Amino acid sequence: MVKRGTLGSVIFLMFLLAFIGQLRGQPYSVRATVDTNRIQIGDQIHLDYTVNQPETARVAFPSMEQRFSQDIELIRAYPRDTLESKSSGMIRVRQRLLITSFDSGAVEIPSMAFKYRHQQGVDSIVSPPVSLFVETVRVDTTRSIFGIKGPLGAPLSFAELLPYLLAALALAGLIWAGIYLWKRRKKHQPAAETPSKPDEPAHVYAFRELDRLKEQRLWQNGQVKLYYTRLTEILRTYLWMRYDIKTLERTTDEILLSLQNSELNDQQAYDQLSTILKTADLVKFARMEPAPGENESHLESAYAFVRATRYVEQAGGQETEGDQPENGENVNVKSEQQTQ
Amino acid sequence: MNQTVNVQELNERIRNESSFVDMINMEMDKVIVGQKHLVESLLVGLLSDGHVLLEGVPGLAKTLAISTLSGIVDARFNRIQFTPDLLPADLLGTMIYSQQKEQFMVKKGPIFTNFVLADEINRSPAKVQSALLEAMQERQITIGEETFKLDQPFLVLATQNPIEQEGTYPLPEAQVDRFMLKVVIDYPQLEEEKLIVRQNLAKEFPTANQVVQPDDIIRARGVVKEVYIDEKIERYILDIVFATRYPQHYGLDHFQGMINYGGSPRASINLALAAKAYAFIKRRGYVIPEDVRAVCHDVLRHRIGLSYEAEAENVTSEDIVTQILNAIEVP
Repeated sequence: MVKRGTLGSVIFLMFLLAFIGQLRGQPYSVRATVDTNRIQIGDQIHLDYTVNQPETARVAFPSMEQRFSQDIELIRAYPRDTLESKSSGMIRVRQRLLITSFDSGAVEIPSMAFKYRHQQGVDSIVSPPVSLFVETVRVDTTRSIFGIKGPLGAPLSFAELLPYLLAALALAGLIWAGIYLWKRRKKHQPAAETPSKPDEPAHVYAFRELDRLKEQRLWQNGQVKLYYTRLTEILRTYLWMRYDIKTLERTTDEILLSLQNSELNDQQAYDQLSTILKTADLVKFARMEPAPGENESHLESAYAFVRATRYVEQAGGQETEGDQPENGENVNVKSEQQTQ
Repeated sequence: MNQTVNVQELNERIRNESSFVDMINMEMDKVIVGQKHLVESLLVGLLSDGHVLLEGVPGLAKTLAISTLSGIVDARFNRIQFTPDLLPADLLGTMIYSQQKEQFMVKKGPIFTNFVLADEINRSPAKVQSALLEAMQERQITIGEETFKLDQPFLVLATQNPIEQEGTYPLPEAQVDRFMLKVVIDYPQLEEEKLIVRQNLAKEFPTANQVVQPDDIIRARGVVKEVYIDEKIERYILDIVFATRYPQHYGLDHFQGMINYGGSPRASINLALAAKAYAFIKRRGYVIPEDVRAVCHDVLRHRIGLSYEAEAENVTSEDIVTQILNAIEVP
């Protein structure tokens, strides 16, 4: 009851002072206003100081931070704003403040002194004090006690998300580049997987396989086609190992043409090979059945061809091909793998 | 040396039946300088009853080769210039009203002949192309209510220009598959071109003599089908065609994303048939891997659908066929 009476007196006094000021026709005046005089604890309100002054005069505003009581907290001081006045030659300068209070009960925003200079010296005008009533949160005691509320989720801004987005984009780019490079590397791999060459000299392979073919006695058992297929396979593999010509994927004519351009310079050996391959083609593709003597002689020709074209290295390091002395004291058979 | 009777007999027959091939080659050589591959491909098409699509820039003797061949064979020849305003009726024929007989009568189109040169086939819209390709497939034409069988031999030789693609109607993949061979013709060699110039500046342009009858061709076609093809060669053909469909199974993984579709069973059939015809031209009664390789590019190049990835990498169907041939083991 007492507080309400005091508040009424203050408001009346403010009104009176303002009225008296106007009556006296003073060119300088200051007004303090708030959004509301009754707030809940922690609520933020605007406090405006509006100084009415001549256009040419300068009024010094007090430092707001130091002037407030402990009950009032200044959150933010906005830049001053100059407004037009209704009277000519006068302006209004407004200082807007954002304030709050965390103490319940009646609090007072104290008066502020605004100084200005005139011909006789320095004078000041004083803003009226403003009363504010801070209410606490009402507790409904009839209801049960609730648990503590968790922190409220603040909405995410784009600026907060931007670093994460950039990091995700960079990661995606790296993954894409990795996949692209892997695919590109895969694409440039050789067309077909070439079977690896046996790790032995070509003629060693050829002699061993020809011996095995001889032991199998294929043509003697009526498997002439298989016999010639196997015979040409051995010779083609030998040529591939010996001269590094892709004989397995070439036809007879192509193989013979390739050999003409290779280091094979033994015409007799070339003719032997040509006869074997062409006869084999006839057996394989034209159902031809050579006489038994021919089958035997083609195998012998194959042995002779390998003997004539095998790779040998003489003691002095000079390489040559073909038959060498059997005692081999000064002959060293060199692996093709070392030469290629 | 003993030979299986069938192949020996076949070889003998083929030596007799294929004698006209040398005569055709001789007569063609009088008029066409170089272009051996073109002439061979025309013969393969003629002997295996397959139509041929020729692709090459203008002035490479495409039309001259075809007209010369028809003159040598004593066959009727019509040239149809495909244009954007051509109608199916202009090609096949139509029904016209005879005022004298007071009834509709059939007016046969230029397709009723032995050799048809469809010049610049891609200049006409799809409906005209369809009409021609249907006739190629069915070998008969229906006008009104009447169906007419086309004369034998019936061979369509179409040309298309690889340049000037503006205002053209490219043949759809399904229709281009009807051509047994797609032959790409290149420029002649320097010495060949010198002869061409001399030949054209001479007082008289050489002409080919008629040395073969259409019946010889029809009979030869029957012999071509009898040419022996071993199981190993069949397997080789299938490996090649399957490699166009599943390159990854043949160590050609890098082509996997580049081929949208590979050769159809028609490709396998045509490859075998063309290889037989090639063996016949070489006067052999059996097919060897060389025959398959000789016709492989012409049979397969238009039957492989390339992806955008292949186009971006500048990989052509030609490259794919070449690499397949280099990757598959020859029997």
